[in-house]
Amino acid sequence: MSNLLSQEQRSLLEDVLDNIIPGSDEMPAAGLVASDFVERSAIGSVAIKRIVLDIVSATDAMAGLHHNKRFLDVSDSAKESLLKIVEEQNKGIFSDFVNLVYDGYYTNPSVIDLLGVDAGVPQPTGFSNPPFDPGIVDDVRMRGPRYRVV
Amino acid sequence: MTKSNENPDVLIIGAGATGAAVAWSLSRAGISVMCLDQGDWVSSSDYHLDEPDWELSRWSDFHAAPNHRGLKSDYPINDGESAIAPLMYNAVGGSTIHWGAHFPRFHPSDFKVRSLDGVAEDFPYSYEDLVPFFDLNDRMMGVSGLDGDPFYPVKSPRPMPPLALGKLGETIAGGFDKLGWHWWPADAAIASIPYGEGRGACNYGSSCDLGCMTGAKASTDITYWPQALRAGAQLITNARVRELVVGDDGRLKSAIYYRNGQLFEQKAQIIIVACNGIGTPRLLLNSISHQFPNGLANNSGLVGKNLMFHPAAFVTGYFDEYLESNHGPISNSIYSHHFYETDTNRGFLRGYQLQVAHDSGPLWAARGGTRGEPIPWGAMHHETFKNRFNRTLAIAVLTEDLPEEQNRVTIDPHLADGDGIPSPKVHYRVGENTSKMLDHGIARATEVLQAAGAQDVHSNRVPKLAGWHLMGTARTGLDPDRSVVDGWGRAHDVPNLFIVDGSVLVTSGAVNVTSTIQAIALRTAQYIEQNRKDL
Repeated sequence: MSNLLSQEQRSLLEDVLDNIIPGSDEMPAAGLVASDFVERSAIGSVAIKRIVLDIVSATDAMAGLHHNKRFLDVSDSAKESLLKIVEEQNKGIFSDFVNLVYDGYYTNPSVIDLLGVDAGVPQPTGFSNPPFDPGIVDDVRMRGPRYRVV
Repeated sequence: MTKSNENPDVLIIGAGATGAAVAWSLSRAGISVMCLDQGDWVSSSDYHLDEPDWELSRWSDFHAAPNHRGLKSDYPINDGESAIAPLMYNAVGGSTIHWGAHFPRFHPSDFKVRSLDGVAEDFPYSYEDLVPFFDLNDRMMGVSGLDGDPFYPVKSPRPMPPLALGKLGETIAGGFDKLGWHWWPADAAIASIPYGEGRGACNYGSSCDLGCMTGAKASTDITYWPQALRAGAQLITNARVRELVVGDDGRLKSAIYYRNGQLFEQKAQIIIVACNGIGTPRLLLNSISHQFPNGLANNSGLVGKNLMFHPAAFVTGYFDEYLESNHGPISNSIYSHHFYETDTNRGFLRGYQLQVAHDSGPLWAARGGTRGEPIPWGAMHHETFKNRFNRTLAIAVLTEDLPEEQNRVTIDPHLADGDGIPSPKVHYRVGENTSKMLDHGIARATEVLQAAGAQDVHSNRVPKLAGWHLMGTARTGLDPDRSVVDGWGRAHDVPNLFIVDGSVLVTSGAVNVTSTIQAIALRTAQYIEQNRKDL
C-alpha cells in the first residue's frame, strides 16, 4: 500500500483509533486492526482523505491547546476527553470518521472471528433456526376473523 | 438519432416489479413485447455476502438510496425539501433486487377509504377484483406464509409453508399474546423450501437488502423475467428513456432513449410506464409537447402530486436474552394489524402495521441499526456492543399515508442524470393525521416490546432513509379531473398509454406495496390482452 500518512501521522492516527475503540481483555483496539483500512480508504477517496486528515490534525491541535503537548504524549486518561472536544467542534465529519473506523474494525476477519459465529459472513451457510411451530398461533386463531368487512 | 426497426405491439419502460409482471403476462399471450430499462442485469456473483467485508456494500454500491450509491444506472434526486428520501434500485428486477420481500396485501378496506372513513378517494376497483391476480402473483413470485390470518378474508393456500420465526419472532409473539393483540407470521416472497427455477430455500442469512445468493428471495430478474424472455419478450438494458413522443393524432408514437451515449427512437402501438412513483412522474413531466405543455397525460394537473411514502418509525428494544436477532430475513418475521383499521377514539383516521424486523451483522449493529445512532465510541464501546448485538428486536411502525397535493414530484431545473435528462425534485412533509398515528404506533410498539421483556426501548421517528414505497403520483380514478389513469391503468388523456407502478395508487394502505401493485399490473395486462385491438 502506498502511504498517505507520514510515520508520525500514522502513529497519531493509530492512537486516535485506539481511543475510538479501545482494546479489552477479549478484543483488540482499533489502531491495530482498522488503521490500514482507514488509510487505504483515504487514499481512494478525496472526501475521506479530507475527513481523516482534518480529524487527525484537529486532535493534535486540541492536545496542544489544552495540554501544550502532542496528542501522543498526553496521558491516556485525558485522550478521550480531548476527542470529545474534537467531536463537539466537528460534529459532521467526526461522525463520518467514527463510522469509517467502525467499517474497518467490524469487517476485519480477526475481529469477526473473536465476535463468534453469529458475527460471521451470512453466506453460503446462513444461520440455523428451529422449524416453525404451527401451534404458536393458536391464541390468535381462537379470537376469530377480525378484518373489516366492506 | 437511430430509429429502431422492429416495432413491438407493447413497449414497457422499466423492468422492475411491475414491468416484469406485465412483460411476462403479455408475452405469454403472444403479444410482442419490448422492455427498456436504464439498468443492467445483476448476477448473484455480484453479491459479496461470503466475504468478511460484505456489510460495507450497504453504505456503498448497494446503498438503498440512489443519491448515496451514485451508480451509472442511477439518477440523482433532489430530496432537500423532503422529510423522506426515495429509495430504489435501478436494474433488471428494479427495487426487488434489494428489497426485504415482505409481502402482505392491501386489505379490502384500503380500496374504500372515502366510503368508509370519509378521507382521500376510493379505488375504482375492489380487493375482490384483484384476488385472482394476487393469487397468480403469489405463485409467480413464490410466497411463504401461513394460511388463516384472521385479519384478512380467507386467502388461497400459501404456495409455501411459513419461514421459521426464530427466537426473535417467538419472543415478540409472546409479547403480542400477553396483550391479546393480533399478530401473524409474515407472508414473504422468500422460498421456505426449494421453489421454481432453481431457487433454494432461505438459509436465514439476514442480508436480503444486499442481494440473495441462494435465490430464495424473489426478485423479478429470477421470477418473471426468465419466463418472459422464453415467451419472446425483448429486454434492452442500459436504455434510459428521455421522453415519450405524442403524434398529431394524440396517441403516443414512440419513446426516445439513450444507450451508451447514442440516441434511439423506439415506436410501439402501446406504451406501458413502470418506472416507480418517482421515475414515472419524472418521465411524464419531461415529455412536453404542444398537446401536453405541462407534461404528458397531465390535463388534470395531478401528475407528480399526491406523493405518498408510508412514513415510519423504528422502535427498538434491547433484551438481556440473546435473541439470535440476525437469524432470519431482515424484513420478515411477524406483523401485527391490530391497529390497522380506523378507531376514532385514537384521534386519527386509518391505521398502521407493526412489522417485526430481523437484525443484521456486526457492522450494522455498530452503526446503530434501526436505532439510527451508532454505538458510542470510547471506553464503553465493547460493553455496549455486547449488550446490543443479537439482543435487539426492532418493530417498524408503518403508517398509512394519506394523499396531499403539496407532497409532490417536480422537475429540478438544475439537476440532471449522466445523459442530461432533468432529475426529479421531491417535496414532502409528514401530515398531521400521520403524525398522530406515528405517536400512537410508537407507544404501542414500546408497550409490546416491554411485554416481551425488553429492558430498554428507543424510538427513531421518521428516519429520512425510509422512502421504500413510492406511491400516488399518477393516481387511478374514474374522474379525469381528479385522476391520471382510469381503473385499468390507462391514461385518461392518452389512449395508448398505461401506467402500472406504485404511481397509480390513490391511497397507500399501511402495508408494503409490491404484492398489490404487481396484482394491479397483472390486471392491467389482462385488460390490454383482451382489448388490444381497440386500444
